[in-house]
This record gives sequence, structure tokens and C-alpha cells, in this order.
Amino acid sequence: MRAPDLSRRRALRGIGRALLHGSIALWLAGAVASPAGAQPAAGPRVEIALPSATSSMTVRLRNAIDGGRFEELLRNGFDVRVHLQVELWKIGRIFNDVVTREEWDLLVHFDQFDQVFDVARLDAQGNVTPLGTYRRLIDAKAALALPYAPPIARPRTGQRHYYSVRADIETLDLKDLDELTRWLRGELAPAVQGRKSPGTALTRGVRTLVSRVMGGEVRRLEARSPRFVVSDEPR
Amino acid sequence: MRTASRTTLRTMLCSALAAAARVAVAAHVAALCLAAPLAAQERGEPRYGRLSPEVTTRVVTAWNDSTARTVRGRLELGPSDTVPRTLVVLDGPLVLGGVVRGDVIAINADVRIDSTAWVHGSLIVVGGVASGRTRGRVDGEFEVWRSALSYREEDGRLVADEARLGTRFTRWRDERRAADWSDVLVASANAYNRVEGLSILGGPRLRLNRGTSRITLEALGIFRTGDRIAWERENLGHRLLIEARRGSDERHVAVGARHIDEVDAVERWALTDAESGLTSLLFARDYRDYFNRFGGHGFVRVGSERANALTLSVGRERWESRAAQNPYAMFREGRDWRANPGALEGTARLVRLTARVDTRNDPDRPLDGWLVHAEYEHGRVDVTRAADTTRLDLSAPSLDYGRVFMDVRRFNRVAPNTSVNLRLVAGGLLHGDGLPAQRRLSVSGVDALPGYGFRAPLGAPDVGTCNTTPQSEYATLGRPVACDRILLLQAEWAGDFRIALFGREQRTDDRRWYADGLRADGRWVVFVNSGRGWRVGERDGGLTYPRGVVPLFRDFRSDVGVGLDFGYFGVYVAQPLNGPARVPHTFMRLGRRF
Repeated sequence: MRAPDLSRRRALRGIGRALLHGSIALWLAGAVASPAGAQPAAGPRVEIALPSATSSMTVRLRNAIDGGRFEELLRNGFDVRVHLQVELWKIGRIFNDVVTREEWDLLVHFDQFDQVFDVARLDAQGNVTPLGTYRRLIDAKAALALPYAPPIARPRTGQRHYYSVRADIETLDLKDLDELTRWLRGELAPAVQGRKSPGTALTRGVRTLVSRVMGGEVRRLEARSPRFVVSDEPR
Repeated sequence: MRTASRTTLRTMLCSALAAAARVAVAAHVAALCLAAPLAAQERGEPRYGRLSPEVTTRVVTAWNDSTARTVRGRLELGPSDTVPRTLVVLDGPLVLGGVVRGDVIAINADVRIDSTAWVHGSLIVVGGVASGRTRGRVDGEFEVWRSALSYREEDGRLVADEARLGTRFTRWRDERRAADWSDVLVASANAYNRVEGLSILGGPRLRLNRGTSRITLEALGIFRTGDRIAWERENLGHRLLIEARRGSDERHVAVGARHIDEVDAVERWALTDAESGLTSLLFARDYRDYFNRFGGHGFVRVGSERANALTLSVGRERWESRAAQNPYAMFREGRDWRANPGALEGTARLVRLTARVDTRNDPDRPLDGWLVHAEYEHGRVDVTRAADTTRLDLSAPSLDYGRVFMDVRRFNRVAPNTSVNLRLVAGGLLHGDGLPAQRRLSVSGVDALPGYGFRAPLGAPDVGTCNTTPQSEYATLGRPVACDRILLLQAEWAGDFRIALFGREQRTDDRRWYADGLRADGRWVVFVNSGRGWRVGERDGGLTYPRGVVPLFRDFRSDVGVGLDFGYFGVYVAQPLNGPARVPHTFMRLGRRF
């Protein structure tokens, strides 16, 4: 007679637990604010300017390396790389589809000898466009935030579209999490190339995992534009 | 003196009038700017970006002009000072309080403009800050470029070295596309596991590029720590590779050969390597089984390194069972490692055709596209020892089989912040006598049916692992998988969410993790999974079906759940919909579910 009671109690406890978990999830979701609104005054972010009849769409990366350890690492000789990808999405009846995409990189290098910051843009074809040499980091950051019009095809007239931009900001030569992941999954990709020991790679990997979770040396920014319709061909 | 003071007075008066006029003009300009976007650069407004060639030429020429007054380092020009010609300051700073009857050019120097300053010509600041730009008077152009001038000096003359910046990054780019390279690789050969412990892979690699052709050579040794570090045969292995490739990373044909002596995982599809390795290292919970492969194969690959590829390989391998060791785990709490199930032992001649299609827009967080992995393997095994503890009749000296496996994933964005993703995993015996133990399948664990326990019985018959032995005996054997075929369907509906624990912020961007304060963006996920495995043979009470038959959907085990995906990890709750124990399970994944 007791067994069914027990199993019922266990099941009730399970449902209670599920409800608790669900409540936490709902509370977390409730703390969420997702309506489209004004951009924050500060903080890393991507800004998208929609194309007009006379201008192309532009992407602007604001305060990309603010906070975290980017500045410290940059001054210690680790280049910062920002990989940007813009996608043009078309809104279909059921699904949204990628129409076209474009990628490019932004690089910041600190020259220890001259004490200057070099900034450059690399497009997908490997062409290098220097964006200047700066004596102050604040100026290098401003150069990083220059608007750029990627050579992405114009959307077709009459259809609803939106842009999606992704920026992955990382410190070059410090891909510890990748190393850790590769270690764990046993890939042939180099965890250690000559100068690093496997043990420290693992330790640094764990540290960086925590660091990244807290917004450390790798940062991903994403932005979506509002939906828009191109009503007329460019003149 | 009187003339001088009169001149100074006149200068001050003019400056004041000019300042007033500038204020009026500035106010007018500001009003215009409010009405319309700023079209042109304001006077003295800092400019970013590379120095224009005209400005570079102008400042270099000015420094090299023998008629100009050139000063290296700090210069203070007081209110009573007058420079009758062009003034060029290198590396400054420059305090400008007097009169300059020509241009003022500051190279890599900051400039402070006092109200008494009067520049009859233009003021060009390169690589510096101009403070007080609303004070003083500049009759000509007023440009401030924040980018510094890169230069070198030859025979006392300044030479612009702007190519340096481009060259640096071009070199960086070219290094990434390095023609030839070699290195000594040290990496892990496998995810941390209970039969190897930590397996360390090390040795030289060499890559030679000639135009669009590439030759890769690798000679890597494997050392396994197991449960004790000892230089013995069981702890050693290797991977040797020679590959010739023609074409680019995106499109090529490659021919090569491998020779291996390594431990391989059974059912590698069911969990990521990182998750398997971490749960083993942290909690002594290893969710995979392993066997040893020794042998070689040749291969031909057409396609790309990472996206779409078709590979055909032909080889011969010796298969052996591996016993579980007792490696270190961080939080073991007296838990024993699960026994490693026995494998079919013998020499196998294998032909394998593998296809991979990847059209995802983002490999980490896909929103659109396909990811397909499909594999067909034909094997003929000369059996030496039937360590296979399950059910195959191994009285025959050889086993012939054909096995197919596919994992198809489709990612769909249905709205800018919502997606519906689908996954189909199917595979098993296609033809032949039956599958070796290491080629059998199951539908079990957090990747397949997270609402149910790992290889826990899913009722009678057990359609998760296809086990028929009593549970106590099954546990002793290490809970081997025994299904000839499986079918698993997964669907998830996901959307973006944002959390701002310290202050609510309205944004349109999407930041996964943000450093200042505790803010996290992620996805909410609602999912459903349904699947089962079965054996191939004469129809019985619901576990075995003839070759041409797929079991009815009503016999499938299903679960539903919800979760929050934070990018690097996700927390989920899954509720089983049928089976003996309908208790919700909470679980965590590193990365996305699929």
C-alpha cells in the first residue's frame, strides 16, 4: 500500500521542483526588458544606420574595448581584433532568410617602441586600410568607432528586410577558451604551440572561461536594425 | 614700447571682436546643425582616420622648408612674442599665446591656444589635441588630426613613413596565410575519459605550400596518464598523417593516408567532447564508451575544410576492448567509474563514405541554414575474440555489416528575435549480419532524451538502449548500448531575452555578456524530443522489428522542457511524457543543445 503513496509523493515533489524551476525562469524572464527603445548613453554597442536613397547602410562600433581587460592586454602587446559580420535578412511568410552577408576585421596594435596605437581595417579580400596611428588610446578607440559602409548589396525594392550585425572582439594570441575546448574535445588544433605548456593552457583556459563569462577578453556584440522596406531604387 | 603696447592693444581688440564674431557665427552654425545633420567638419573639430596625403605632404614640406621656424619639443609663445614666418613644432607641446604671421603646424604635438593667440595663416595639428580652440584667432584653415605622423629622418629632413602602418597589418595578414610552417604540437588526443585519463598528443607537424598545393605531414605520439603514469605499451599510441591537397581551404581535393593507434569513442554524436571531458574530470561521470583502434586507411576528400565535404576512406584496423581505469576526478565523492563495455575484437576491413554540409550563418549561434552529417560504413570483421557481451551470435568467424548514420539539423529564423530549430538523428544497420558492439546505438542521455536518466530503463521493453539483460547484470557490464537502429526527432523554439539585475535598460542591441554590472542576454528555449531505438530481426514484443519496418510513433519516448541559454552554457528542465518515472530532470549544457 505504501509504494504508490511514495511514488505519488515523489512525483508531486518532482512537479513542485519543476514549478520552482519554472518560477525562477519566469522571474528571470520577467526581469527582462526587450522592447525596442533608445540606445544607452555608454557601453559597448553596435549601431546600424539604414540605407537611404542616396547613402549605403553603415555600421558603427561604439566603445568596443571599454571595460574588461582589453586595455591592459593591449598595452602588454596583445593585439585586439574585432571581427564584424553584417547580414541582410529578408522577412518571408514563415521564415526569415539571409540574403547576403559581408565580413571585415578591425585591428588595434600597440607599438611598445613608439608608444602609439595603430588601427587598421581588413576586408574580406585581405585589403588593408590603415585608420591611423594614435598617441592616445582614447583616439584609437574613436578610430575604431568610425562608421563603415560595407560593400553589401542593396535590398530589393518592396520587400521587408532588416540587418543583423555581429562583432566578435578578442585579444589575439590569447585564445585560451579555444585551447581548453580543443583539449577537452581532443582536436588536433594546437593547444600549445611551442612556448606554452599544456598545464598552463588548461589553467589559463579555466581562468579565461570565468573571465569571459564575466565579460573579459572576448566579447560579442550583436545588433539588429528595425525592419524596413526599400520603397525606391537609389537614384 | 608705446608702439608695442599699441600693437598689443590693437591685437587684443581684434581678438575680442573676432571672438565675438566667431561666437555669433558658431551660434548660427550650431542652429543650422541642429536643423540638419552636420555635413562638413567644423573648424578645429578633431578628425579621426588616416592622415590625408595632402596633409601629410603639407606638414612634411613645412618642416623641411628652410624659411620656416622649426622647433623640436616644447615651445611656449607668450602674448608679446611674434613669429614673422611659418612655425613648425615637432613632438611639442606648443603653447600658443602670441602672433604668428605665417602658418602654425604642430606635428605629433598638443597645442594650447590662448586668447591672445593670432595665427595669420592656417593652424594644422597632427597627432595631437588642440585645447582652447574657441579662443585666439586663426585667419586661415584650422584642422586637427588625431592620427600621428609616422616619419623617419634622413639627413636632417623629415620623410613620411605612412606605409609602415599598412605594412604592419599586411605582414600580420600574410603571416596568417603563411606559406610554409612547422611546429611541435602538444594537445589532448581525446576528451578526458575513464579508459585513458588525460591523453597527451605531441610531435612535429609540417605544412608545405606551393601555389594552390599543400602537403601536410604529422607524426604525433600519444601518452595516456590512465590511473598511474607509467611508460608501458597500454599507455602509448600514435597518429601519423600524410596529406596532399590541391585547392583552397574553401574548395579542394585532398588525398592522404593515416595510421593510428588510438582510443575511439562509441556514439560520439550524443554529447560534445567538451561536455564529456568535463563531466569525467569533475564528477567521475563518463557518458561514453571506448574501444581501441590500430591500423591505417587511405582517403580522398573533396570540398572544404570546415563546411561542405565528401570523404571516402578505405582501411584496415584491429579492434580491441579497453578496460576502465581509475583516473583522477575532482569531485568524486566515493563514486566508482562505470565499467567500459566490451567491444567486438578482430580485424576489420572498412570502407567509409562521409558527407558534411554546413550552410549555417554562424557556427556558434546559428540562426539559419543546414548542418548535415551523414555516414555510410561497410565493414567486414574477422573476429578474434567475442568480448561482445550482449547478444550477437559470434559463432561465425567473420561479421559483415553495412551501417548508415545521419544527423540533420535545420535552423530557421521565424522573426528577428525568434527561431525554430529542428534535428533528426537516424541510423543503424542497413545490411549484413549485425552490428559490432562499438557500432550499435542508443537514444539516451541529456543530448537525446534529457527527461530520462542516462541509460536508465525507459520501460519494458527498453527502447532507449535496447537492453534485455537484468538491470544488475547490465550495470556490471557497464550499460552497453544494444540498438541496431535509432530514430530521434528534436525541435526547439527559442527567443531572445535580456536580464538587467541592476537597473533596467532599454536597448535594441543584443549583448550576450556585458562587463559593467551583472547583465546577461541569452535565449529562452522550449523544446520537445522524441525517439527510440530498436533491434532488427523477427518481430517480438516491441523491441525487435524486421528490416523494412520502422516502429510506430506511439512507441517512442518523448519529453518536453524549457531552459535558458546564456551562450557559453544553458540550464534546462525536461519533463518525461511517458515511461516508468515521470520526474522532471534539471540539466546543464555547455553551449547550445544543437
